[in-house]
Amino acid sequence: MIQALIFKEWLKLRWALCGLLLVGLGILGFMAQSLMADFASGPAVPIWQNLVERQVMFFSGFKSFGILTGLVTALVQWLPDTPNRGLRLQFHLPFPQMQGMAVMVGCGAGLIFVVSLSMLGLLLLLTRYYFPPPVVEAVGITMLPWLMAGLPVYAMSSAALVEPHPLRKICYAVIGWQVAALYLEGCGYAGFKEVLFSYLLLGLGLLFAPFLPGKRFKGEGL
Amino acid sequence: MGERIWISISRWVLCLVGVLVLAVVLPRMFDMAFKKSSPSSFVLYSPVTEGFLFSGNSPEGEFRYRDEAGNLYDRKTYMSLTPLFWYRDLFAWKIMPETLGGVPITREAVEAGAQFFRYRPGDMQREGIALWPLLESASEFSDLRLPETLFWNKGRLIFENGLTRRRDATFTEAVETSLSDAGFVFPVAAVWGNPTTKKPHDDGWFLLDAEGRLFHLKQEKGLPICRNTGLAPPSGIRHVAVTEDARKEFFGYLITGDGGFHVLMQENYALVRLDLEDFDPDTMGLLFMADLLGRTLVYGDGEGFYALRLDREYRPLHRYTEARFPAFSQGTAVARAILFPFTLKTRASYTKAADFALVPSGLLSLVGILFAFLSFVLIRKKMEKPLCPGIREGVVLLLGGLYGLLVLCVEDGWFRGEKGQSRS
Repeated sequence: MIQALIFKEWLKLRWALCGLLLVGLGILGFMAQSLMADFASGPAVPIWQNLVERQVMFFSGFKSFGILTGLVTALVQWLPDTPNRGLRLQFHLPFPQMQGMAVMVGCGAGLIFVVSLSMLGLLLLLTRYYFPPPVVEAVGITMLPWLMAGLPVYAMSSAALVEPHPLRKICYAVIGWQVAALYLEGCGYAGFKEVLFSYLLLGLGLLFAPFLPGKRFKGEGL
Repeated sequence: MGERIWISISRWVLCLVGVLVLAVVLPRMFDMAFKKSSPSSFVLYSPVTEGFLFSGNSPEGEFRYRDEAGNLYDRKTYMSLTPLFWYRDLFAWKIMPETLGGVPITREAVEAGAQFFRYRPGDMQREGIALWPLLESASEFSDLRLPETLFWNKGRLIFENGLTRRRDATFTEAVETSLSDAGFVFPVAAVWGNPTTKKPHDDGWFLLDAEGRLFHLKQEKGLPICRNTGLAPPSGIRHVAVTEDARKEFFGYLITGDGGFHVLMQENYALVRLDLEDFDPDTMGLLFMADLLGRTLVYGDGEGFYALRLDREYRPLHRYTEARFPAFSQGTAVARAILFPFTLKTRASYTKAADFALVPSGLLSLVGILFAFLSFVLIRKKMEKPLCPGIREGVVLLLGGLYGLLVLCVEDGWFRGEKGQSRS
């Protein structure tokens, strides 16, 4: 049953995965082209120094990528199942309901991890080609919270989509938006270095958020 | 995992995250509505009155020039009483005194004696990209230029060439030999310097070795030169800042582990500890102003500021302390503490870095928590539900006070006004 559920999620999410990877690769391509032009025009040290002194972020195109990933994943995953009550049918399968929900959330979160980590890996490879290791490290630490913002956006968008009551829908959407804003606050390079783990825990913890709305969706007035 | 556990965890997560979000949003909205900007004065020492003069907004929003006793001055009088700062105007008006404190005053002498630097608590916390240039300190050119290599600290200093974008093994080795020859014990514990080329000259970098000793690294005529400063304060070195001013009196300042603020002199690396009463480098900023006749230091935090006048030998001449006007009136501060039992701090206090810390509001918040509990009971009574809160409700109310009440209102569906529904 778990495999069947995963396959069902794969059918829903595969195009989102391809689309998000394409968008990410497009941003990376644009970035690579821009870096190539900069480095072709002269020695690297003034560019490195400019980056260090002025905190220029050549990868700022990725700032909203995490949010986009979380939002697209939630919409693609839950929107087809909620208006026509497909999710309620799933809850009546001979399989523990919340375990089924966990498989769905796990698939959504898995997609976010796959997309985010591949973009992070490619960005770090590109950065290492042009910059020394301290820049690579700083770019990685700066980029991580931006990508992690996808987790609260995904979790709270899912909760908002699944939740049947309009007021709670609005509250969950506002909470997701506010939590995601914390991950994107302008902090310069490596500003999240000391608190990265706390924010990761917050994002992972939030993945439990859609379960209670899911139960309410089934119509068990909680 | 049982179904009830999934639901229970989900309910806890939604409640706690709701409380955390409210602990960010509500205090920010409250502060935007009620927080008054605390006016800060610019402080100068007057060699004429031998006291401090202040310029800045009063709490009523009026710009004032005043002295320590509260006497008010017009702008021109204020400027004439602080001639070493406003010397351009005084020379233009031809009212600059010929001597001050027995020292002849010329425009060149005033300009040559002036130096300013600022310290902020955030300066001690490293952030950003740790990649620096080792500039040529003995350049034959008038301006400083970026070298071909930048370096970083990985226990040893590693140089990477910007032309080849490869590690410069030769220069890395040369620096390491230079450090070893000076008696440096690896690994490099800290690196301090001023990486910009926009400065009158270059004083290189200060390095802390594994034994807590301070070394001075420069590049002269293309070669790395390292000297042992002989400095190893028993309390340790927390921070060194290189200020590089044309006066060349000192390299910069140094903060020791016991909070001492020292000037690191160019001559023999002598340390001069400044007599700053109640100075806390973790919470207080500092402004250093040197002039022809002495040094003025102004330091403080959100609660008050201290002004200290030193002579040219760094001996205290005059002190002054003043409390700042609080950002909140007493009533507003009490209301804030009652309403918000804690705030979630998402920004570090003195840097641009992110934070994630709960800042409690103190004992007054117990009043707000009690109010939240009473409101909870009254709402439950009206809805004909059990009055005693469950574990989750109790924890959320106890931790969150007003935040918890709002979250429970939404999460438990009180807005729907259902009667007699049992607690889950």
